[in-house]
Amino acid sequence: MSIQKNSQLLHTQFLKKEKKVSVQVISTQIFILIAFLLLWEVSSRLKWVDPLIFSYPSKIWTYLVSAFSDGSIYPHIGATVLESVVGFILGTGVGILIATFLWWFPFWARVIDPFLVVLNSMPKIALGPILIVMLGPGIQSIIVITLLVTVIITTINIYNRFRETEQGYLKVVQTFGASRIQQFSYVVVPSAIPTMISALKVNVGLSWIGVIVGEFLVAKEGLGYLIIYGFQVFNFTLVLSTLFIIAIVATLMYQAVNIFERKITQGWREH
Amino acid sequence: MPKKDNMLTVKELSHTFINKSGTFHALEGINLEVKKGDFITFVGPSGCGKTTLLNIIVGFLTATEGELLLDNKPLVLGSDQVGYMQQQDFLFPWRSIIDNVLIGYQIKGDKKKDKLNEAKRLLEELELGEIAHKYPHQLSGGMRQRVALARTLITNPNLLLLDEPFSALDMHIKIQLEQLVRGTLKKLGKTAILVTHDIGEAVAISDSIYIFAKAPGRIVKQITIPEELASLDPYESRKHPLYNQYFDEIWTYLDQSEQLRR
Repeated sequence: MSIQKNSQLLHTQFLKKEKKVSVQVISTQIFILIAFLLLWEVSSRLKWVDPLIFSYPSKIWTYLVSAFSDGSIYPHIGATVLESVVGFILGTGVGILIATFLWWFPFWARVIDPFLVVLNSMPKIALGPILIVMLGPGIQSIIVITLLVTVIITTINIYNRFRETEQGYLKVVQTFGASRIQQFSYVVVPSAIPTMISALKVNVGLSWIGVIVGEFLVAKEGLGYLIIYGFQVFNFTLVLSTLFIIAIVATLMYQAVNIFERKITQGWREH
Repeated sequence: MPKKDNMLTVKELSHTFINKSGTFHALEGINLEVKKGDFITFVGPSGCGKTTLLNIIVGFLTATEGELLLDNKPLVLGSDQVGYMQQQDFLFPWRSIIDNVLIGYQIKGDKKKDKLNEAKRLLEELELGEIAHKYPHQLSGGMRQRVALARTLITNPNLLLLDEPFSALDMHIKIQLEQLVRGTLKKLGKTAILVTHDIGEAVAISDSIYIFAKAPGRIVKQITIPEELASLDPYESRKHPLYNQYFDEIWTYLDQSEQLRR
């Protein structure tokens, strides 16, 4: 009885302590954020830094409020989100397809290996100008740039995972007479799902690079276009506000992938 | 006693591994006859080819020389006759327990629904009925290996090939599982071949033991365990006076083959 009571007490104390630490962490985070914004505002106003480049948090806030309330920002967010979602899904999907091909034909995997290594070390963004001439300025070029940025690394990572599938699992299905397709679908693919999801996560980040640079080069709308436009008319309030929106939207996208991950691995992994 | 048929016949089998760095002579002149319903064990030092021989019998490897007959027919990987268990359970973490057990049926293309009841019955029999819908990470090592046994048994193989399935477990769980495996296989009239490096386990569980030596891997001695000891279950068997006698005999053979190499 007394032991039970005591352990209950210990548990309550433990929870209290945990909660206290959490509160401290969050309040410190908020404090740092506010201090940073204040320091920024003051530095700009007192001309410690050049307000033309660094703008003011208050001006950025005013711009954000007006851009969202008059709705002028939405087409830009929509265009960029569309491009990057299509880009990273396409990049991941095509990467998985190529990895499947390489797993299926080990001869071709050996043949292609050095080419993959070279392509992977090359900055794919540099192909931008060629693509734009080939495909014309527009969303199609931006999506292909994004695809190129993501597809090689995805192929390499997922192919390696396929190849390193635990022999013991393969032996289990082989003794039941599994065909190569069955081995692939029952063992190789499911055991690579965590790798596929981490590829998806990496590609969310990479696709933003592809999209923003692509928009720098060709676009008439989109968040990358706003940045380059702001730069051309020397409106750095617009540049910084857009950066802020990008940070928020990219984070939301990353969280969406996290939720997707939890959905499909539900049950078979401890969280 | 009526003469039992051969489940497995191995004639003059040799195996050589070939890779970039050269060749390795793993098995030499192996002859074996395994009768239906027998529980036999391969013991020997590591590197003696006992696991290689098991892998050849499963069909993972093709022997470079010799003949292998399973129920008087040539052997192929993935036949309905053979079931296989490994040291690790290799349960698929993305499948629930019942789905793990059903994978054999799924691969062989049978309708899952018809077999669901059979899988449930088998899980009940192995005292796993309650956990059918859990996932492997929620189970202990001994339970997981029991699920692996159910998964192997569900397609109703006649020859069970066991590659050290007990060796990663704690002593108590290990003997419990030995009891369960041996009991279940005897009840169902299955033939089994166990690979182990544990002499005590070999004596306690087998009807017949093959002792291997290495360089090249070969069988140096076959010992038949007398009915008196073989009829006992693995736990009782360990307490029988004959148990120590056979333990010592195998020990001596292993010592000798070790000394021969020096």
